[in-house]
Amino acid sequence: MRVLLAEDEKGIADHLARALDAAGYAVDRAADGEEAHFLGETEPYDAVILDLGLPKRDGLSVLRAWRADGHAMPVLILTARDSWRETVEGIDSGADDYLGKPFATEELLARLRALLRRASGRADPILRHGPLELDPRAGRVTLDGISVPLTAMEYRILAYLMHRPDRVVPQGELVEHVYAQDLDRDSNTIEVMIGRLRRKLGRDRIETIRGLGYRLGGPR
Amino acid sequence: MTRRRSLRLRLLAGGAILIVLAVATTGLALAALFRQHLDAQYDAELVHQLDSLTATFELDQSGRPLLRTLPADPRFHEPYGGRYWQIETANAPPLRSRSLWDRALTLPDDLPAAGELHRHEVEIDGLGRLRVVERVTRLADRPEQAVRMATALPVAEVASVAGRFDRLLWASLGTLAIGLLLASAAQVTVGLAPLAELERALTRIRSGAARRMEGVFPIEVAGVVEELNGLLAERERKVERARAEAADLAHALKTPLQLLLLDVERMAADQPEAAAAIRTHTQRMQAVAEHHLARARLQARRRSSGSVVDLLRCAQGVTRALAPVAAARGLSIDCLVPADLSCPGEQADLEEILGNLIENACQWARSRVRLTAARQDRAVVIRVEDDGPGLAEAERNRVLARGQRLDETMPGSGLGLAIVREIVEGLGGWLHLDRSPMGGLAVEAHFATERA
Repeated sequence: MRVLLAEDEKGIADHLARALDAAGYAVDRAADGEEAHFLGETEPYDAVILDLGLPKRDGLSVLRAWRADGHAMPVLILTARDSWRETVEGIDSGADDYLGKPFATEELLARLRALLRRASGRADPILRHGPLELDPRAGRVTLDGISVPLTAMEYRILAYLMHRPDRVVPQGELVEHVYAQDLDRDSNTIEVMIGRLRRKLGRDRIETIRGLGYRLGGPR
Repeated sequence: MTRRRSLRLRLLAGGAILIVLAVATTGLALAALFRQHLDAQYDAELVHQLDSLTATFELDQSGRPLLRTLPADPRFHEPYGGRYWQIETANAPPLRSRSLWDRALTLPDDLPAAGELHRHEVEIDGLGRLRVVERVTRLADRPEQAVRMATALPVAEVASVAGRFDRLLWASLGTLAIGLLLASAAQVTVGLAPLAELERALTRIRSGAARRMEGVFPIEVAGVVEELNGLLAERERKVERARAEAADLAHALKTPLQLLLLDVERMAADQPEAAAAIRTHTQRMQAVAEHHLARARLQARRRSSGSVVDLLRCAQGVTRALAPVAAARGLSIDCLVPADLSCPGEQADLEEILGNLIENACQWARSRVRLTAARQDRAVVIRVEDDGPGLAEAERNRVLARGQRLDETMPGSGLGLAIVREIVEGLGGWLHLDRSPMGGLAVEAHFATERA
């Protein structure tokens, strides 16, 4: 899952980026409205955390521009808790949820998970595929109830696939959604990761559809 | 402020004392003058009658006095008529006016020298007190024989004339004094009218109806008004600056506090108790900062008086915003607001009120939050309730008690209610807490409206 974090206050952004990374997200950061707008227009994010009080271009206008251009990714806006006008405007401009500042990191992560879950049309917070379960709240994967230790990158790939259990995910899409922008992207690494996941979860858990990409396989 | 002696009363009292003194002095002087004049006039009359007696008097051969003609004044001829004369000689019975009847003018013993006038007041039994003028005359042909002649009139007559004059005098002077007092009162009232106008202008400023003193004032007061307006403007600037500083301060505190809160999360694993304590304090500080920011925002917002807002639109906006929160907690928000209901205030005010109340209710609710709004008599009532644990009556009273400190108003969610109360009261409404039939807390905001 790749997330854009648009927050101008460096201390807060640093902290959130660390927390998001630890929770298994690939994080891109934008420190002003123009940068946020550009990234949102060009990169395929699974979700955006958007502070409304950004310099250069305010968050509301960035959000409206995205929606006008047909970008439908879930957006969580960060608003001043004491201004409902701003919050209502944000929601009416196309935000999917709001979080009043100040907030606890755990609250932000919970809202983000809920957003992603709703975006993929599920009600259950735990992602299931046959005997395979992924709990995004704990960042834990179990197979037949037994915990399977995964690296961060392996977890990201599996989580992305499990959010789209019925789709074939092209390798390029996978690359775009599990790497942050500033990381060296290498599709060979994806193949290596898929190989490791198969060793840990079983060969047929992830199918390779030749020429198209990957898909979750095995019993549902 | 204790009321000092009234300026009006002082002016009135001063005027009254002066008027009464002036009128009394005039009255006494006039009365004395008239009395003097009266005395002189009666004295002249007595002397004149004495002269007439002297002119018509003679002695016969035996030395008995007789009058050639009696005085013309009829009062000499009627018994106790009011004018009396008497002529005494050494060796004959005295001659008396008929009006003396059976009485005699008993004169003091000091015999006047020839030609000298003596004036006495004597008490004569049956005649009362008389004013007497007497003279001793010696006739040219009988110089050895002294003739003592006296004329008299009752003192009461003089007193009665003087009394009549005095009554008339004091009556007219009293009328004059009353007139003057009324005029003085009118003058004071008219003169002090600008002060009353000044007070009204100040009251309008205090009630918020005006920002400066307006109206036309006489030049004596205009200086004061100008100074007061200057003072008001200066005060407004200072308040504005303080408000801006408070807002800046609160704003500057927000980010460090958020950072502090985030940092505390990292130490929570090692020192959970210390972390929890720091978090509580930090949240308290944040609540204060936000409260002041909200207040600054509230006060900076210029309200055009009489503005109204569509309640349903506000409610829908806020419930849309809160839908994800409600969904995440498995809550349903019922929005029972009629379509044509408008409420005093601006959209931002109502959104702030509804947002805080519903968000607060969502924090406590088990499964349902309900927003109802209705017109009751001459008021619009907005009610937000939930099916959570609610508050005991004592707690409810405590939450809205005046002077309640922000961080004590309601654990965890006092801020919202404090801001809501501030806005509601700013719009001329009031907040009421109750127990909801759904089980939890019901918060009602009442707004009086012009129309029924």
